[in-house]
Amino acid sequence: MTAICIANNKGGVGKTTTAVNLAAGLARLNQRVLVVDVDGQANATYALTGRVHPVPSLYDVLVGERKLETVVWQTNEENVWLVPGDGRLQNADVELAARPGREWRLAKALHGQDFDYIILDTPPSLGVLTQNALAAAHRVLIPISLTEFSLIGMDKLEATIEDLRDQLDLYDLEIAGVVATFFEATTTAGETWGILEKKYEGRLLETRVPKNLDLEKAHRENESILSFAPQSTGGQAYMALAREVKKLVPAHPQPYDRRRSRGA
Amino acid sequence: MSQRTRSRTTAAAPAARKPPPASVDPPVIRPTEPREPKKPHEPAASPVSAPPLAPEALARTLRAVAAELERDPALARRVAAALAASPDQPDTLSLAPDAPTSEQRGDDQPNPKSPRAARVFTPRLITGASPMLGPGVPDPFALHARLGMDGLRAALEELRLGSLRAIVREHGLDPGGKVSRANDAARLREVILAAVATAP
Repeated sequence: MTAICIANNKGGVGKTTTAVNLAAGLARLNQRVLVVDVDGQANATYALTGRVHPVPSLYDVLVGERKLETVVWQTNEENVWLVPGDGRLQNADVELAARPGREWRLAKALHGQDFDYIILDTPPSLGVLTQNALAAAHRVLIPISLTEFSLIGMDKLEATIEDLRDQLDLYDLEIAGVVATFFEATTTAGETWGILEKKYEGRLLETRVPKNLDLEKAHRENESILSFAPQSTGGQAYMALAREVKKLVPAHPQPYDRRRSRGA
Repeated sequence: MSQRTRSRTTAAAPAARKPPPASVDPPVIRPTEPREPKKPHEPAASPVSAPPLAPEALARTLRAVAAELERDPALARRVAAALAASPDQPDTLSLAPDAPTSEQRGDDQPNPKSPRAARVFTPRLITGASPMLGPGVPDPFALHARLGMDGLRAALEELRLGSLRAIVREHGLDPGGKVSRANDAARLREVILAAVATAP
């Protein structure tokens, strides 16, 4: 079991699209995947099940006392399961603020789950929910759109990861890679790619996800791009990304145990 | 602040303007001038209550309209089309309370003949599938037992391609996978309904 957190504090960079389609790609490589929708917007939940803000959800696990296995859903994708999110998660940051060990609640809830991969889709912020996802993850995958604005704030995300690593003793939490999304053959995209190549030398993934309308349509039809339009440019890119991620971050054969994996 | 500005900002409200003197020139119609927005569902003013136009004013207005029609052929065509329409024909743009709603008119269906059809975007409120479907992939056989065939049909109408494909996959309703591969929600619904109807 390997947990990958899809994170970027900037919104609209393709976090949910990457979470959903990477999960579907890994599933097509015979991996059993659990997607955890940590975002109160619950877009991954909608994209994988067609449901909007279902209850009970992850909120009842993090803020309430519900066991995580009671909210694991089968999704529209074969071999992909989901812990749904709902709108109440948007208040969870405040509700969890005063609780001791608040950053560890998701890691504890996931303990013992037996999948090959857990994909954690996070909100566009660096609050308690994202901290929970980072604490529960073995690796971080950062989607970044190839635009000028996307370079702003990247340092903040890295600093947060560094801080968490120190505070929570997550010495093995690493950035698995940075994946470029919304790729277009434009000068701006090319220049941004060049900057990222220098900044993330060796960690910038080869796969570049193109801007592709089919990705949006697939969300609307409540399925992954690999079910909706596997031959589209977006479909081919996400299949390539799944292969690259599987090679880069192999699935750990043991059930999920964040404490064990960090050597505690 | 200059004296002029101060006097403009601090002076008492100006006295009511005198009506402009009658002019012999036709009034200029400015289509770009901001218009007061129409209030929805406000009944159109009854023509009976409108004050009658003096013959001179009516002639002046018609001359202005004629001048504008000569200047703007597109406007002339629209006016000609409106005049050619039957007086019995209902005004579909009326905002009167008894006018049909956009749903009744089918406004959310873009007219394929319109050159603007391809650009029309009608946002829809996404409410998601009904909670009565329960978590995970819906079970059409259980839904049929609970809701009957009409209820199942209505429930399937709410579902999008992904959920329909998942139902077909989970219940082995398309062994060859031919229907599942096509992005055809209607056909998937047919397959599910047929399987439920023939189930023992």
